Amino acid sequence: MPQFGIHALVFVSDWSEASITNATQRTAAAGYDLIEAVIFDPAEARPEFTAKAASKAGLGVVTGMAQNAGADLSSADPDIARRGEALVADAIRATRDMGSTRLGGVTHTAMHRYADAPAPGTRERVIEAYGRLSAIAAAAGVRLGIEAVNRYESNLVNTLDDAAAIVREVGSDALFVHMDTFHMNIEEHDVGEAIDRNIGLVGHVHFGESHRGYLGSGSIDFPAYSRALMRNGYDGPIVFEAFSSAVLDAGAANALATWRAHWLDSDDLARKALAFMRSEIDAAQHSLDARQAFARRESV
Amino acid sequence: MNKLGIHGLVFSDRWDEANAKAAIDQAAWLGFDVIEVLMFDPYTTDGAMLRRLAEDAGIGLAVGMALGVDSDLASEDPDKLARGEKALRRAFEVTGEMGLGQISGLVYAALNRYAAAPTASQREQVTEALGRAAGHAKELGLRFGLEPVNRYESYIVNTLDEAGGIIRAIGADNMFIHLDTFHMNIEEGDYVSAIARNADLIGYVHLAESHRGLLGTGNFDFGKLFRALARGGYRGGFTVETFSSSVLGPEIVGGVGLWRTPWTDADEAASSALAFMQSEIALAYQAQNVW
Repeated sequence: MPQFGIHALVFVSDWSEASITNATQRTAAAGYDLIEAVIFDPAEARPEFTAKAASKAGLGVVTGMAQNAGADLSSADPDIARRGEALVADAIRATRDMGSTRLGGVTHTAMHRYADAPAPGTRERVIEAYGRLSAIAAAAGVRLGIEAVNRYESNLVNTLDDAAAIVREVGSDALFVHMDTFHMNIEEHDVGEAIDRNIGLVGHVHFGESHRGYLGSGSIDFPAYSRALMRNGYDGPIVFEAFSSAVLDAGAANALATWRAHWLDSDDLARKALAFMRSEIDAAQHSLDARQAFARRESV
Repeated sequence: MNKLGIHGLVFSDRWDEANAKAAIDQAAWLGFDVIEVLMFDPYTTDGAMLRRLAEDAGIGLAVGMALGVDSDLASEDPDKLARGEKALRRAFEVTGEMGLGQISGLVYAALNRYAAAPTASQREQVTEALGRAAGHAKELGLRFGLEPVNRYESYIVNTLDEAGGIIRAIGADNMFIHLDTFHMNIEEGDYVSAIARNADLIGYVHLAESHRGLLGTGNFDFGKLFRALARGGYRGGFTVETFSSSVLGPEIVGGVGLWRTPWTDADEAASSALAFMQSEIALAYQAQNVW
């Protein structure tokens, strides 16, 4: 069965010691197995403190990150590309030091709105960089994720197939596809089929609502996603992600185009999301029972 | 019956007379009631020419527009605000020259990935400017519509309720909401409820799939939408919007973040959308019958 986690930005907007303590305690109080720590700046990731706080709260850790315009391994500018690759490599090491084995997120391009389609050579550059990074990840005992995000957050990896093609071309077990329902709701054709085609490479799952608010209160057909995951036997992490200007500072809210308080009470949101995910995954598991013959009722 | 339309960008992003004629004739030949023209620049759009081409082809027109960062009603730069208001006034005149009674789109701020949230005074400024614009539109006998778009394409009006709230605050009887399913799929909670809350103001509808490719091939539940609109008594137009980089140039591709080619044959995309609309819309209205 999958392990349920929650994204730290549901509770906090930075990764200070106070925020780490706050987020881990509230994650545990809501009943989750995992917390997803966000590595904004690997030098300020406080991996030892994070590992200790998570362990004290009885939580496992997964990590997430995003490149930015100044540090982007897909860039044609060698300085920017070098900084991007170094950022991911440093985040891999911080992930290891947090006791986490999975680092997901926008590791391929900068998380921002590109003005143009990728220039020729971009994808080749990205594949070469992932080749080097997957070796670093393997040596650190960490797997590195490639998150398919919507068209406004990357011009290169928007679908599960985009991410999976890169993993296959690099050919490393240290890489995985990181799927996110918020992005899939915008970019995929049939979501069940996209999951079926790529499940062997899916190593991390984000459950986010279409508007990034309360899970189950938007447009997303969660049974379609949950059934596809369960019929393929997915047993990795499923992390709930939501963003609200009620929690995020201006910098984080702007980076995520969060113009409203989609919700106000992090603890209520967290508890309800966990109950919803458990119920959806459980129901999806039960739906598979229909494949077995039910005892037939006969008149006597 | 609701008029069924197609967005001009399905055929071309160049609207000189030759390209406009080709697109308008093609839309008419495919059987659409209406073709929507995106008014890139109100100062160079020849409304009379478009009207003549459409009349010759026997098809109706619709018109949409989007403000840019240099003519933005939400801008804190008074020159940009003034340019935005002037662009709207000119767009109203062109709408009249096209022989149309309404214009709508991203008219409250720019088509832009904003870097920061609007301030309270920017919101106030937008409401005031829209109120003045609605007054100008009224003088010309026009209706004026706000299209909510997703968080990455603008701010201030991302949902039906935000559009409805501004229209109700202004109190103009010639303003309406222009609904777009692509944006709604991202921004609304329960969109059936959102439609029910704002049914009296919905005046135009864009049908776009969740990925803006072929209608019916994505995640949007159109059956639910059509039933909600039918239940609310909607009698306005439905216009399909689908984009492909096989037709559009780099400026629009970058403008809407279109990094892939969902189709290469515009006629096929258009005719499959028309068949989809004809079937699903009629059934939804049929479903309102009481046995």
